[in-house]
Amino acid sequence: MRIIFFSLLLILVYGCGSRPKNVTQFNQYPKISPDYINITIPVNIAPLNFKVVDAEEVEVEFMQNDVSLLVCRGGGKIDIPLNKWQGLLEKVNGLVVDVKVTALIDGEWKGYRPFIINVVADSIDPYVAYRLIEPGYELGKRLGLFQRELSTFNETSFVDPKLTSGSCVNCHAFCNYSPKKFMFHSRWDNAGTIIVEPGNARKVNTKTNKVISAGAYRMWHPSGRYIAFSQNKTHQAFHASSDKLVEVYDLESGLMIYDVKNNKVLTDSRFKQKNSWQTFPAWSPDGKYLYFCQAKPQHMPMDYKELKYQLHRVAFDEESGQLSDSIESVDILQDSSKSISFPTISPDGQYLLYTVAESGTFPIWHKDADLGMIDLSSGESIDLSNANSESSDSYHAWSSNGRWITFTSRRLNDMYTTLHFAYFDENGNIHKSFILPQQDPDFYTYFLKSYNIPEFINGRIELSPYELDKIIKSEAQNAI
Amino acid sequence: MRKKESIIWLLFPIIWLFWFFCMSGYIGNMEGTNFFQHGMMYFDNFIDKPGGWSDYAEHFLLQFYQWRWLGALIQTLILVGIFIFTRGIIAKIGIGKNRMIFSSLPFLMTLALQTNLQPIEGQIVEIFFLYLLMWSYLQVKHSVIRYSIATILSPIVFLILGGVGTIALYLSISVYELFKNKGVTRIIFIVLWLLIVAAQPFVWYEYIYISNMEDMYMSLAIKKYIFGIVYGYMFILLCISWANKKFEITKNLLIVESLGILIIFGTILFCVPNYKIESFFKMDQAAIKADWDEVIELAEKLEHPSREELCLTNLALASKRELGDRLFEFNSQMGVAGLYLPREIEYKNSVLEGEFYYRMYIPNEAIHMSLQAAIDSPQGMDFRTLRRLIEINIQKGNTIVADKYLTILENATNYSNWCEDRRAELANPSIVNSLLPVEMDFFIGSRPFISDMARVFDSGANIEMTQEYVLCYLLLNKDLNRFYSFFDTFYKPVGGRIPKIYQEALLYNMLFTKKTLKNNYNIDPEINKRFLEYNASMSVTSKSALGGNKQQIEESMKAFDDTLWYYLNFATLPKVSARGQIIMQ
Repeated sequence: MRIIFFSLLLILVYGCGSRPKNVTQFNQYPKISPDYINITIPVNIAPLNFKVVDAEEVEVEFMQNDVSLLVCRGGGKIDIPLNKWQGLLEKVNGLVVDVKVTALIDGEWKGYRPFIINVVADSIDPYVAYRLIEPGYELGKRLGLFQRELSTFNETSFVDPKLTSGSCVNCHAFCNYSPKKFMFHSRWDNAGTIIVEPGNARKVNTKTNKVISAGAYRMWHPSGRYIAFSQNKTHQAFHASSDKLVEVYDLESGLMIYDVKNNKVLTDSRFKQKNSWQTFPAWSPDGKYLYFCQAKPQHMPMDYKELKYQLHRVAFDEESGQLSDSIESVDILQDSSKSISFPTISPDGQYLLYTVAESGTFPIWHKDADLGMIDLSSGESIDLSNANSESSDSYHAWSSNGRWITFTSRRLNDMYTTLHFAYFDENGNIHKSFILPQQDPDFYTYFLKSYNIPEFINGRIELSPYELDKIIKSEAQNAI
Repeated sequence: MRKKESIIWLLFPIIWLFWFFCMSGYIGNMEGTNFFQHGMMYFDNFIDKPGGWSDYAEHFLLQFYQWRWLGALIQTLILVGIFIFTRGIIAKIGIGKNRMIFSSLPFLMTLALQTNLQPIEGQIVEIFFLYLLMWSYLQVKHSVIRYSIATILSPIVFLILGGVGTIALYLSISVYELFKNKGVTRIIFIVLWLLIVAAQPFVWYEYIYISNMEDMYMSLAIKKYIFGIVYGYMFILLCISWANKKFEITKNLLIVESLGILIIFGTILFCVPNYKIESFFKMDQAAIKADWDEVIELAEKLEHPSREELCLTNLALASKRELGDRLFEFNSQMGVAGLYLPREIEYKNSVLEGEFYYRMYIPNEAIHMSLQAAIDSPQGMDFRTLRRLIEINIQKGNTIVADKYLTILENATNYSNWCEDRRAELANPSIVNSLLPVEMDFFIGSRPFISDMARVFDSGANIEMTQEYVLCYLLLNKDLNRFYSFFDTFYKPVGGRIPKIYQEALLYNMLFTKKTLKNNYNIDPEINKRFLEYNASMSVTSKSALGGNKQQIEESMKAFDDTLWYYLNFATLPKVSARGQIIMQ
């Protein structure tokens, strides 16, 4: 009996992790993974579990004004209980938390310089939707669309790869951040564009004889009546030995507007031309302008380095569904030798976020791709060095309150894209970004899929994967 | 009885020897196409999947197949387990004295499945667990405890056995209880079990595990009907038991029974295994190890090699710089299609294309094809692809992603030695890197194949192998003018000697094509002599009674079928599509 009692006690003590003894202090930050040092987070984010590199045991103390609020211990990494973390964030809402890390490394307890976590009251949208895809860049097999609750680790599929095997689902887009009104494409098997509105989900075929292809890159008009699409004849070429692996390019592209109410494709000959390629449509938040990228055609893929997209815009009349006569150039780059993609405008209409790369239309595989931003009212560039990395930083989206951006980046290993968030404060400064938190700090080491096209949503998608699967496999209505 | 059954034990060492010596390709392939990780993140993929626990167990076990002896032992031990449990079941249900044939059939049928189908998704392990669970059920003497355990554990059974296995088990125990026991309680439980078994897949489908309903329930029974026999076997036994058939054991019956088992066993070993696939797997395993002599040796035994086998053979010949000597020793009826595979995204194709580009030192296409192979593998990654990705990324200097893949492989069970060696390479920047350098980049992967090879040749990478592929392609395509131009302008002989086939082409030029070449080339007297013989023989044959019949002439010239001259005269080129598929043979 006594043996059992002591054994249990031993297990209990060992399980809880030992307290640091004879700690040697170091005036440097701990080496932690993921990197959460000196970041800004929303008050409604999931626990920031992390590991200390090479540590056997670790103690992490969250403090505010030298008052200890939460202590977590673990064997090299911490797993903060959700309720305790949420309690902590409530207490420090709008304040700065000091994080003191003590780690047992090579038999010695080391104390590190505390780092800070700035907790801001500007909350982030409750969900982010994304696609998970294997980085094979030619054919996927287990592609699915997922939604992740940002205040917890709950991730669920709304288009499940087990059901849609053989179809490529992509380009999900939500109307005004609504989980009830959205669209996505299904390619290969069961091709079509799935449009979900409250009480009405259907599949449409937007390929008419007036357009080059079915709708590709997309954005909902704020009214919810229209979706602007690009039409692209897309190809791929593979590099034999370059740091870039694949070049994705168009041999023709243009724009079109789909009238959701009347199932009608609206075209304009100016946006389907041989001598200019247009793509990446994006509405201004008031719906009065359509922004897009335009390039002079090149001999592709050989001259891919010469392909430079620049930003333009055209006024739009919501009543008639017509684009105005004049197309304006929006000069946002001092260096015109670069190429712009994925323009998106902040919900208040003041800032324009885009991706800039040396060339081309598919910056996701371009290591040189970075995020860029300008203040549309002053034309001033915003410094995004806190968000950018040495690797490809590409697709991005604004939160509904305009205080957060999410974007994909290959910064961890140049191969698998991960999801990152950065705070954009009211003074127009971007704060240091952080990766989507996972319960296991080693998650990204073992995960073999890429995060693709993150989009914020203001609630959970309630439509079940089975219902969406039925729509995907249904007959597509041809657009007029 | 025990003595009689001990004869069967002699079969298991034979089974082990059979796996070890005759099915080494299967064993290697099973390990290579498997993937496993320790930890909850990986187990999460199986935890709530019907039959997922058997899948998990199978993936765990397959890691050990990297040692052939151990792989063979595990294959055998699964059968031993099935035999032991069947014997126990038969003893419990009172089949009578004629146990030997009944207790042998399940493991023999499973052996047939093992050798003919690639055991995927835990199906063989599921069969093992089915017999284990049935046996365990019968060990519980107290009937109410037995019923209760079977009821409470039904969700676990569903996770272990999946839809078909669960149905088989619960039907079997229902029949057992119905005919072997008495009382109303058993009827209540039988009804309950039937309800559970019927409802379980729907509950899972709606609330627990997103899947197609057919995968949840019936796919095994429908697609692999033979599994139905294995799963239904206990049901048959119970029916026999119920009918209470007992045969008198006579000496003659013993002999007949033993002979029957031996005949079934022999038939399974000789007729059931897919030796053609085994031969390809062996060749493939040799190619992974760059054991080109073994590849060629295996190719020499093949009468009608598949396109994949021919491509591997030609890769082996090119790697040994013998393609220009021995190209026509192997099946050349596929023409240029024997040199490369079509641009089809499918596991086997991607894996072999990955092998080809890796051996050609073209890193990005090797990565590309390996990633495509991973996508097409059942779990989205497999050990073979993972190892290849580690090797290429280390060689290419992509140290961070190489480190990620290495960490993943280290998180499996048995790969520490291999990983240690790769870690050493990763840490050593002076590693020999023969890959195509970054600055020599060009676009690759669009067919025709010859254009890709020409670009590789222009880049200066792996000149010796590439020139063999270019020249042999041109000859196989009967494009002699381009062959002579390329040969005369660019060809650099390896070791100063011109390969046999190229010499044959040069001789052919002297006599027939008569293209003026800038350089002079020495022709081996032996080849000269053979050319004279060929021409003499052709001339005699053509003038003979066979004159008008090309097929008969071809037959009579067979002695020269390893020569270019024969190929130029008699081979019909298959049509190959832009993406490399053979359209018409």
